Amino acid sequence: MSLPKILSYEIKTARTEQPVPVVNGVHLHSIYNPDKEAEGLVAAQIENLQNKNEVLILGLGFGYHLNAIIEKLTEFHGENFKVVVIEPNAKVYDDCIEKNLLNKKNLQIYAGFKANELYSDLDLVHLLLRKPVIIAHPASFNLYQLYFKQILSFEAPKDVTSIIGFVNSPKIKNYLAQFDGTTALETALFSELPKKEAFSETDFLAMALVEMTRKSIELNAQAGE
Amino acid sequence: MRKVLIINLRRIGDVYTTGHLINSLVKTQGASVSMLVYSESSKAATHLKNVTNVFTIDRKEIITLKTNKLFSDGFALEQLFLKLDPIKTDVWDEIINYSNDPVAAYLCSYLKNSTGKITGVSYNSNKTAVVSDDWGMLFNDILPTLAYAPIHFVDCYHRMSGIKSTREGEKLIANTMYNASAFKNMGALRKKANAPEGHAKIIGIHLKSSDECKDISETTLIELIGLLRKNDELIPLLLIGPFEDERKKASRINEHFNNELYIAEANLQAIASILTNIDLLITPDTAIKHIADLTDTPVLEVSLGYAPFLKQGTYTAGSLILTDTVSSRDFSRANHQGPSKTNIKAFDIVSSVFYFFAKSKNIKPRLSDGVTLYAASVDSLGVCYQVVTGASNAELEMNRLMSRQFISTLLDGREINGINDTITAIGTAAVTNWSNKEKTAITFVTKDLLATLRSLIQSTENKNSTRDFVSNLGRLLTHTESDSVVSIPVNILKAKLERLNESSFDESTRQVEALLYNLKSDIQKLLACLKQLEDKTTIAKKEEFMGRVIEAPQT
Repeated sequence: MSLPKILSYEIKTARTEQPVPVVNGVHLHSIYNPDKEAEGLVAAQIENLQNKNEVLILGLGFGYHLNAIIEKLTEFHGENFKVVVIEPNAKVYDDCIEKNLLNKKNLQIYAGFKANELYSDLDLVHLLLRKPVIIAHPASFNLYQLYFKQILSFEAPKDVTSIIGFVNSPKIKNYLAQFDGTTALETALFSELPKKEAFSETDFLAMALVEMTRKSIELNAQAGE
Repeated sequence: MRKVLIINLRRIGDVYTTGHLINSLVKTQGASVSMLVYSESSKAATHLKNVTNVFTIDRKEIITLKTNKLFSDGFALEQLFLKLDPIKTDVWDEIINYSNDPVAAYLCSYLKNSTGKITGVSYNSNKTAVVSDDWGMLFNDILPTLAYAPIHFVDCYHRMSGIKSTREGEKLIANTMYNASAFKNMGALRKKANAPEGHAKIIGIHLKSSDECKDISETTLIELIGLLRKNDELIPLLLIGPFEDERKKASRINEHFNNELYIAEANLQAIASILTNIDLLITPDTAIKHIADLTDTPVLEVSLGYAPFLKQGTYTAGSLILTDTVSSRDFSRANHQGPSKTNIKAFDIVSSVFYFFAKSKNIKPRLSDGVTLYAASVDSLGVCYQVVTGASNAELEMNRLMSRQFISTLLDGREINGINDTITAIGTAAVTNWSNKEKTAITFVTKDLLATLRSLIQSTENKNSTRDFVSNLGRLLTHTESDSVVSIPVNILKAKLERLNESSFDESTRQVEALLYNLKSDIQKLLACLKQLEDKTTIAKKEEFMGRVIEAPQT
């Protein structure tokens, strides 16, 4: 799970005098009119942006599409919206910031993060749970296809040791550390924990989770059979 | 001020029923009550009056975190931990497990060190389910074994919490705007009726429950509304929630009446305001029924499907319940899919409405075969359902009412006034037959109890007799399956045996012996209850005889 290789990178100037990043020979925005191109992208998403106030954008480029989306969200939702961007290329991000091209209102950018790092971030996890509108910036998405596919098809590791790396709370980390690190947490909680002779305080919490999710997990298992 | 946390991880309607206990806790103890509910039921919790804080667990989010491959399983546990942290780090005088499900029991155990007392079921560190007191045991171990609950869940929770039920007091947060609007609109509706002033009655009809099997069929609803409209004093008002399927149902029904019906679409808060301004609510088992109970609105509950009316029926005294004969009903949710077959017809509902409004209750409505009308009344144990009219299974009713009397005698230390009159009214001959059957069942239990005791004492002298003891105890415990009232004390024995702390053989023997003598004592209390019933029946028989003598024609 790695970041895309950048073989070449340069910044060209569009006819509108706006800077356009070119990565591995791919122009990330229109070389004629980046703003007009961005408007077209937003026009295709009007209904989604009206219905939802949280948006996840795959690909930053120099953010022309992002600015157009933020403008539309402000029109529909006032100050009450959130935009999150995932961009693999940290250099593009740095230049975009340096050139002060972005409307940073209610914006959060994850630049240069690997998939497992992204899914360790609780803010991002919560955003995904709320099912935001997902908009792919076409040029970035095509350029970094493999990276974005890895993100969209990510499977979190199941073993206890890896899971300890994902959680933040020291109490939960300590609790999980009591299990065999190579065991899947699901096995530890659903099979090993109920067999314990005596329960600690946090065992009860874990058992509450087991009971709360048991039905869904059984249904998932049946569907997978 | 006592700080109490109520955990109720059930659905919206069940969360509403907590309002009665909260009212009693606040009125009798001046307690500060908070609630822990699932997010999907939080609307009900925030609607209840006197709730200091509503803590929520987003079950769907936690399930997604646990089941979706994108997310680490650790997040689900961490999320649950974080959600409970404000509760865990606080100090509570009492935590009440109101939902009585495994998740709530585990959470109570997790929160044990944050509270002085847990009411209801939790687990000890050996993973044994423990109950707070005998009422908790009744609720957790005994009521599930009884096909026909003799006590309402709300009353059981009051007893478990050791507080007196207080019916007075507002139990929902009032919305003055909704109240004013409902008062005005219902007043206007009454004026439109072609009835003398003060005679118009608004009958709210709630169209849909959460489960098709509990719904009154559309055909019955249309017939019902047609019959109600024939009476100038009755104004049917269709009540629907803000959902498309309910709108469509109301619209279909309205078409049958040239779109002349009155329809009120309201969210849960607004419906409470409407209910306080109508005269009667006709509803299947719904959250709206529970809101009506909290606003003291009379209810005619049409209990269908698995709706557990004996446990969680309408709670307002004077309210009525129409049901297919209880013995013919299956209260298991798993056995119901699609619309329920029922003998209840529109005519039965209308007859019950007339009975509700009749000043004299001497004339009972005539119902279809296989249909029973119950009325809710209040005795010293709480809400009690009594047959008004219709087909009913006499043995089942006697068993249910005597179980109630026995529970009150055993756990409340007092008999319920008037309950023997109610049982005797079923028929003196039937009571005598039933009582004899009960005594026979008690004889069998007593015989097995004495054999168990004898073999237990022998086993202390000769370990080889242990096998006899085990065999006799096994035979004694088979009476837990019995349909007789005596199954209750045997089930109490079983529940207490299951919770015995493992210790030395001698200590265990002493504990078991004590429990067997407790059973003997409980059986004597049951016999005393039966004796009182028999005395009452004897008096009633004499009165019947005297009545026949007086009525006999003079020759």
